[in-house]
Amino acid sequence: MKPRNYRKAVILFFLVLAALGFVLPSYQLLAFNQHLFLAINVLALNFCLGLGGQISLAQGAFAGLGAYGSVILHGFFPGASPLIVPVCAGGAFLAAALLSLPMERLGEGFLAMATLGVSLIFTNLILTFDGLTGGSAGLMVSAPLVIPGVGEVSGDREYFLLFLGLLALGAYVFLSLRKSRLGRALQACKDDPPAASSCGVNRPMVRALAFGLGAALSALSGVLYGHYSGFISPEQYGLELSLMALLFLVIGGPGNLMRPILAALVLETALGQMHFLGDARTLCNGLLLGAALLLGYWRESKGKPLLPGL
Amino acid sequence: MVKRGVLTFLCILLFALPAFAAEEPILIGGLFAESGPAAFVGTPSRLVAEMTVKQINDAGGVLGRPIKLVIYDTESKPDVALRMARQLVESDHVLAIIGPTSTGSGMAVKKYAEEKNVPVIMTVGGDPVIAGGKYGPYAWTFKTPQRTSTAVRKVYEYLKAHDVKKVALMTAKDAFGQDGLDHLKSLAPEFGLEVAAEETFDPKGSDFSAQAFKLGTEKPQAVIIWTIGPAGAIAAKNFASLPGDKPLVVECHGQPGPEFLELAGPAAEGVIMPGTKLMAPDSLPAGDPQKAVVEKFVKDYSENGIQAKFPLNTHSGYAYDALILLQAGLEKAGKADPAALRDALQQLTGVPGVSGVFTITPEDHNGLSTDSLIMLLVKDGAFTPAK
Repeated sequence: MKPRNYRKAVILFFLVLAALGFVLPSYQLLAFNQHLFLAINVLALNFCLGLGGQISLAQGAFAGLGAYGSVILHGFFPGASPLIVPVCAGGAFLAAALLSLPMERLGEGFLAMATLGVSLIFTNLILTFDGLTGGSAGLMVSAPLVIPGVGEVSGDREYFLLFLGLLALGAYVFLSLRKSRLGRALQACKDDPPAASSCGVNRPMVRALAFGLGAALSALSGVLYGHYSGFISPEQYGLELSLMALLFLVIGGPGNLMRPILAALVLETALGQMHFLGDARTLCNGLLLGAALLLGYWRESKGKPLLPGL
Repeated sequence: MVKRGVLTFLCILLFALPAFAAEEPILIGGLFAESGPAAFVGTPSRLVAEMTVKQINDAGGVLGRPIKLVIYDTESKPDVALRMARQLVESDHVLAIIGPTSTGSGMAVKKYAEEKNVPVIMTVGGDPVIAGGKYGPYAWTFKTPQRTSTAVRKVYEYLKAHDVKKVALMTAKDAFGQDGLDHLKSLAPEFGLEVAAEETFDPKGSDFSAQAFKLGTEKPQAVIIWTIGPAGAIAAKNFASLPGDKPLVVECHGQPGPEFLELAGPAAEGVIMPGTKLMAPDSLPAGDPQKAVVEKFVKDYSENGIQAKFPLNTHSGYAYDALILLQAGLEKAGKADPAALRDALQQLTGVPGVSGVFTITPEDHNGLSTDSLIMLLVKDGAFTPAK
């Protein structure tokens, strides 16, 4: 597709989604918002994996950082949203960038291990400081999010617009980043790290930036989701969220903007309807992943056989 | 051909007429974890709920109207539980909700139910749903399983009567385990007990020898393990394989059931735990108000084929109790109205259920005391009342 047509298609997609938000009844918007929350995390992971070529398993922890940070800070300073939200996003950005820097120096693949650790440590921290976080019993959200000039945010439709806006913002940043100098540098790091370094790309810095941006986006989605659901607990922001984000990103194809988001929205909605599946839902996810990997291989290899004779 | 079609249609109409003539059913929502980690409790709960509703309807329903259950799967996830609760209220327009199964899901549903004024009778183990304070109001939320504090008191009463002074605690790192730990620690002084050491563990883990050994070095007289599911049996095994003198192993009220006996094997011998009277129906004295209810439930449970798939355990009766309370509440209220139902539920006294005799007040939305539990001892691979 030509770049201009592509941009039109993306804008059309968001307009259609926004229109849906005004048609659907309130309780179905809840499901939609939950899927949008996942889609934002898929996009956030796309910054790290799609652009920079590094697997992260900490998207859930960063979303949790945003949710817990915002809810706890709002408890101390109710109404200070314009300050708290950037602090949460900035905190996640800094934490992620500082984590990525040394990992990149260690070598390929270490970030995946480190982020797996971050996910587990985050859950343990929440459980340990139960005086502040409520521990595994969770935390009731008392103070609402306040937008200056608009007032307190409540209701499904308001949050739907915020989620959609955040997704659109993320998509915009993603597209402009991909075309920028930084995006090209990331692409080079992904394709051939030693070559990129010898061409003068500051690899640790570039990847830390991309990873940090993804973390900040996740944290923002967590801020919204925490205040939206009104109750936060560690199980909502555990490893499962990170794995789901990774699953849908791989199904849609890392580096692609719309396909992973669509995969998350469409497949989650479809799977959510199929109550009869029960525990077979996990199996479905696995089958989808397998099919997507085979399809991706087939597309890139232009029909070469997967195994000799197959 | 046409004639036959018309005839068939008329026949169908004839059979359908009585159904039209009957009263509108009362819609009740059911939330059960039928997949995910809590499915081993949620799935049998659903079957019990369906069985109980059928019994109520066969006996003429409530207020002359049949009950209709609309059931959704929560996947053991709080987010899905909230989504399904909203679908029940806003799309299916149910009068009240039974469930969900796990404490985390319960907290997510409770927040919504309190805002929307929907009576919910939960089957969750943890207390926060009806604790108030920082966990929010609980004007519309009830729960049928005994409070954690009730079970802790039962255990401590037994330990005190057996001259135990020094205990060690081993609790799961989940909402249920944390709830247990809080109460175990805060109630210990009241019973003259010293908590010598405490450890936590991941309930999804497969070996807790390290924690068991560490607690063993403190030489406690008894160790109390607070978790639901297979982890309790694993911990019992780990303690059984400790060298030297072993402490008395006490499990929580979530453990009694054949699964524990099977998984722990010989290590289960001598383990004690609080349980509902469902676990030892033969030991109930003739005058016990629960005797008839429990015996009938055990009989129906196996006659409906649930026993074959999910052998009776301590969780089996909670969905039954929730529906019995709902029925009693509706009859007291005299009309199918949420506010009237809530007020009636809060005034119920002496309703015999499977888990105990419920006496609910506006302050106590559980209504069970320590005498609803009995201490069970595993002897020769079976549960017997502990002396």
